[in-house]
Amino acid sequence: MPDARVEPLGKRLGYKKLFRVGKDVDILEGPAKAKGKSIIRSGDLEVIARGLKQAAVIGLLPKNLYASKRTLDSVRENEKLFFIPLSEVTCSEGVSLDGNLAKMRKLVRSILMTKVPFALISMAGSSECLMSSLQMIELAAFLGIEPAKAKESMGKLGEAL
Amino acid sequence: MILRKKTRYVMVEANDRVYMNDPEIQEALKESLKAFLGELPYFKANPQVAAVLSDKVFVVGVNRGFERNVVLALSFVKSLQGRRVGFYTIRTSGTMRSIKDAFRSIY
Repeated sequence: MPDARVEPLGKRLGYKKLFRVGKDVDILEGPAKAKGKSIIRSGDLEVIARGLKQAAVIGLLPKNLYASKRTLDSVRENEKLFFIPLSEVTCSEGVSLDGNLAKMRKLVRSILMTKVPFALISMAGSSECLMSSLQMIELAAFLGIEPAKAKESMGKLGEAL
Repeated sequence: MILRKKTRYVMVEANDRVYMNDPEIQEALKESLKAFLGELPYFKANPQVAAVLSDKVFVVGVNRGFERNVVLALSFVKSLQGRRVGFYTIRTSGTMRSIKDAFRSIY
């Protein structure tokens, strides 16, 4: 999407700013060193532990919507954010929608129980997967997050960047 | 005494042109909403396309108290008549006039 269209779209959807992967923030999949502000996406505990120690890393994205208790503890101890990608639920269809919804509910429950700081993001791969702030809050409420907490956590990515 | 039907209006923007004036497209949207909401909540919410403001923006009228369900269901609708599409709910309001005012100020 061209830059000129992103800002007005973000305003219409109820956000101060839309952040884009590759432009505002990078995703680290392996044990590489972060060059700019980055988010780690890995299922390997060692990669996660090493990555979260880097100052440029702002948090962790779950792989396959799963995070072990040790992973969540590691995020909390390093004072990073756990990112909840909501479009992984809304943009899946059929059987995978049921599965992803169940996985996401379980993940949200673990996050709330372990009191890990979290941020709600859409992580939309295409424009149809984007959501307005209103939709994000409703979806968060559906997953078990209080609307006030959801609203607060939507601004955390901007604060971290 | 005149009983007024209490309706909430939800302004919705599509990511692409959807031509909501077409009754077949409206029917497809209703079927998708019914699939996500379930039949009984769908009939309780009674979502209807109340106005088409542009080729991408339209207004859905919903029985008061059920607008949150419809906002959530719209997040899950990703295709209409075999075409990939996404819906963003921009604003909810109790009157069509304020929705139209918001449309004029936003677009």
